[in-house]
Amino acid sequence: MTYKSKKTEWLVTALLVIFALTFLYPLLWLIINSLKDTNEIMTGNAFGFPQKLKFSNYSDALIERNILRYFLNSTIVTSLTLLLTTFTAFIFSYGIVRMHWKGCPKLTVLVTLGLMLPSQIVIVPIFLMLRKMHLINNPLSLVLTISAFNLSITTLISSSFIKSIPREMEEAAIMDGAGLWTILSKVIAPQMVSAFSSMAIIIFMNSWNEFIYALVLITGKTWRTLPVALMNYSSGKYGTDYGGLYAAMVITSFLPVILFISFSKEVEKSLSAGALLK
Amino acid sequence: MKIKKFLFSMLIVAVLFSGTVFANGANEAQSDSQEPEKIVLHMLYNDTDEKVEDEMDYVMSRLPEVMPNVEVELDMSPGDAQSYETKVRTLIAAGGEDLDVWWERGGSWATPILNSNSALPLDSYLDESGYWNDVIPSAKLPAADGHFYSCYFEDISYEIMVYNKAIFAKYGLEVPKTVEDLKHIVEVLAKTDITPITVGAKDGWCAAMMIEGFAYSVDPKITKKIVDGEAKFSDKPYAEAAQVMKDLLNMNAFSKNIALTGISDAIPVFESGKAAMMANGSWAVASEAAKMGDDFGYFYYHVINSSDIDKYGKNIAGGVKQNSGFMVYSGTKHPKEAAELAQVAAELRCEYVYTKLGNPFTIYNPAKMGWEAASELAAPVEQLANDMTQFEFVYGLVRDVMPTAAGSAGVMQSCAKFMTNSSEYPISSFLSDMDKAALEE
Amino acid sequence: MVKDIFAKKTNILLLIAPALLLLGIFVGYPFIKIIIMSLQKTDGLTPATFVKFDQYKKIFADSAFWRANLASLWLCLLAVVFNAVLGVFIAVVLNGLSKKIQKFCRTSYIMPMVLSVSVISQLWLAIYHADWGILNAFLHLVGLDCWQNAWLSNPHTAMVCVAIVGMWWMFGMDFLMAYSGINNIPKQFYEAAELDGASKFQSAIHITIPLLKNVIKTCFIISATGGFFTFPQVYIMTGGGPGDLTQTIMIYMYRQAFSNQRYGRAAAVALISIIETCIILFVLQKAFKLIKSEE
Repeated sequence: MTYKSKKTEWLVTALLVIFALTFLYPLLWLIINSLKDTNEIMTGNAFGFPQKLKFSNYSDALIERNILRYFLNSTIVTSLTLLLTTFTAFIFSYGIVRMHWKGCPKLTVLVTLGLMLPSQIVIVPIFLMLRKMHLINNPLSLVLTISAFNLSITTLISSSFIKSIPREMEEAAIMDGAGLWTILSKVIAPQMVSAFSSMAIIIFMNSWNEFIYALVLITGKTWRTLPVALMNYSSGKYGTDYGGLYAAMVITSFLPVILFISFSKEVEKSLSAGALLK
Repeated sequence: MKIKKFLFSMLIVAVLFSGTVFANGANEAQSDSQEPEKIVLHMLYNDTDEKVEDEMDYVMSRLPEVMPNVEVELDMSPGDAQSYETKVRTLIAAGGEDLDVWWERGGSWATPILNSNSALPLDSYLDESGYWNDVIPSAKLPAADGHFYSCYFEDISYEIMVYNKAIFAKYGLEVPKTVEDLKHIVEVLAKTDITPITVGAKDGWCAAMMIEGFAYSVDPKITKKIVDGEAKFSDKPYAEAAQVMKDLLNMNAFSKNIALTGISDAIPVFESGKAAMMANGSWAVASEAAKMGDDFGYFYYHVINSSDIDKYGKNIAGGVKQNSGFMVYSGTKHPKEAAELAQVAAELRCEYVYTKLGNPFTIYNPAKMGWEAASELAAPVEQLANDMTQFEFVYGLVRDVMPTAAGSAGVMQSCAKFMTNSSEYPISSFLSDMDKAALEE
Repeated sequence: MVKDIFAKKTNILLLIAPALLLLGIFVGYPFIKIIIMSLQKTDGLTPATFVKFDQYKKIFADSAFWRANLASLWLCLLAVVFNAVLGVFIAVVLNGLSKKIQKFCRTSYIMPMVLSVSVISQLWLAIYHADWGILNAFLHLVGLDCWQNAWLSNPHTAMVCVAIVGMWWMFGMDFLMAYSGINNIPKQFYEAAELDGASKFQSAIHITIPLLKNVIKTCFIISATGGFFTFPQVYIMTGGGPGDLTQTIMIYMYRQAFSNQRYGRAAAVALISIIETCIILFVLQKAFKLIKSEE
């Protein structure tokens, strides 16, 4: 589809680029201001560059405020969630697609429920239940919860991929005497690389950035994750340290952004996967 | 590549996990090697700021000599009162295994704990140990059912306003005793770069404190009457106080962002001299006096009616928060030791703040305890300590006296909203919301 | 023999057990628990008492609930207009521009989505700050000082400002879905239309939009539910305040649960919002079916 005249094309381009800048500018502002001293942020030129680059915002964050520890916690939780969700969704979707049995439609109700409900709506029963199980403040509770809420979308992605794999390969493998696990690992899995990456990206984003459940389920400092650590950053000993807070925010975001930029094609595919399936 | 990524992340996870497991195991091994006769008690505390960390460091350092047969494991839990109390309830609901003694924030937080019989009555232990000889009379504050469930140790707090003497001197201002004086001061300061008053309005209770302070000059017993159901917020005292606040808001006494300013934002603004006055509590007096030296001063809430000027400073909002302090879990396996720990820890903490920090606002009678302040008390502190003995009627919202959590939340939210000074939320709406909160069950 | 492996009961069980366990415990059970708890009065510590529909009565009598509900519905509408509709529109319009511009715009629109809501919220707090925020500074720069405001404290602007944050965050999602959908439309359709002398506007209306029907429907659904359940950014930025200026229905539920310790009432609110969502989805489905039948 092309444009009638160069003039309209230029106009549209200009508008869309300006619109795009409104998405980019705040992030740029964040990086610039993460190197400012808090006093300058509050009293100086909002749009200006820092008068003195305050790298100590970053070293403070990493060392004194323990951001490194929270970074580690987020990594652990996200990695475990990745493993658990991908594996569970994979075998689950295989069971739904390939296996011959009657319970299938009833299962889809459960899956759809998981898809439709915003995860925070059931926060109260989950909190009370995990409390009874002594799992509050245990990162496992977060891993299990995030996995459960990501199962639906990942199962959908996984099943749509499996559906497109021709059965002949599995049938050939069975002729050769392969058991279920061999089929899964040697035949299906290698063909699912694209699906796995889509699933991994969704799970990573949701798990790394999860806030509400991380807030409610992890109450101590030991296992706190990055998004929650940001909340308590500016209050406490040092009063409101906006410069330091922004440094911490940049540290929190740099991993997802790097992943996004390097795998932008995959990210876009997985983020839009939802549309193609509904 | 995906498989490699999986294996790699699994490797990292395995290493990290084994690291933490190993660390935990090492800790357990250490504690196992202690003498088996010591009783282990778990104590939970709310790590709100570095001050309490210092206090508890002192307590823990003295405990082995005062209670040699007990091994105390202290858990300093960060967060605000709400998340801390959620953790307490979580531990209790899970069976209270790792909970013997904890710092109960008190007030409406304590209500469900008392209702579920999760707190151990301490009456007999306190009587036996001669506790009542050591504390001032107003510390004899039982729970609603007449029993004592906590060993108070929090500072007796009074709602006051603090001010920057240097700024006042610069503009030739004097300590205001009436609201009219205060308004005059605000008028002068509003024309300058300095914010006249700052307050942590986002944390609703700070704003509530201010309004209550003004209301007290009309009727100091008003808050108690409202809690007892004999009066309403929309009666004269609070209505007039709300009007005063509205006038102040309209006079630009506060910064534009005041409704979203929390107390931790407001304090640095006052300390750095960007604001001339701040609504705060007496708990800050000692540390502010230390930080600001001679520039620091305080005054009480002003009388609304100029003719009441002799009532200034007589009736103060504040006091000890009911059911606050160290509580003992009713299902603890060592009630006697836990009760003793509660008392000892409370005493040690107060001894620390009195002798080392020069904070005289404890419920313990220093003369009877044989404590001596390390250095001379700063002038404002000494002044307040003396005034303390003269106060007539003491009560207050800061003690979280609303009977239910919903009531407290309602009061705080209404006050925070009132500070937005919008035309859509006039005094009448504010007062009716407050009345609604008082009726929450 | 092939059928054997695929029909073996133990195999099936192995495959679906972990997922069923997770879904059952974290989705199914809580859902049932919500229904039960909404009929109780419980504070999580004292034993629960059964009060039938008392919680619902109290909720419907609370004006704060109705305000929160209205706020959430309003956010739902805003999200549909500025995320779904605008997203689709921009995706369509972007398609005619050069590849470089497309890549640049695409990456920019999606960028906020990869950030944590925690980061987004703090960032927008800095933008909206009444004393030194970027927004007020910008207005000052262009001489529109009179428009300066205490954005998040002003009852007129607070809710909209909060809405903007969520929409800014999630705009990329709708845009991307529409964009991928458009890319899936074979080029021949447009070429044929051009040969027939259709303008770009006409191609858009008659080719792109109809073929994007399903995608558009999904965008509407996601934006509507997302807007209705706005929560984390509000919690971080204002906590629902000052007072209840920015209280959405999820904030109302959270406060009932964790501030007021009324878990039963919170569960009732949750159930009410689930029912409302179903109604919204039902309306959307019907609306789209109607449009389809008109063709």
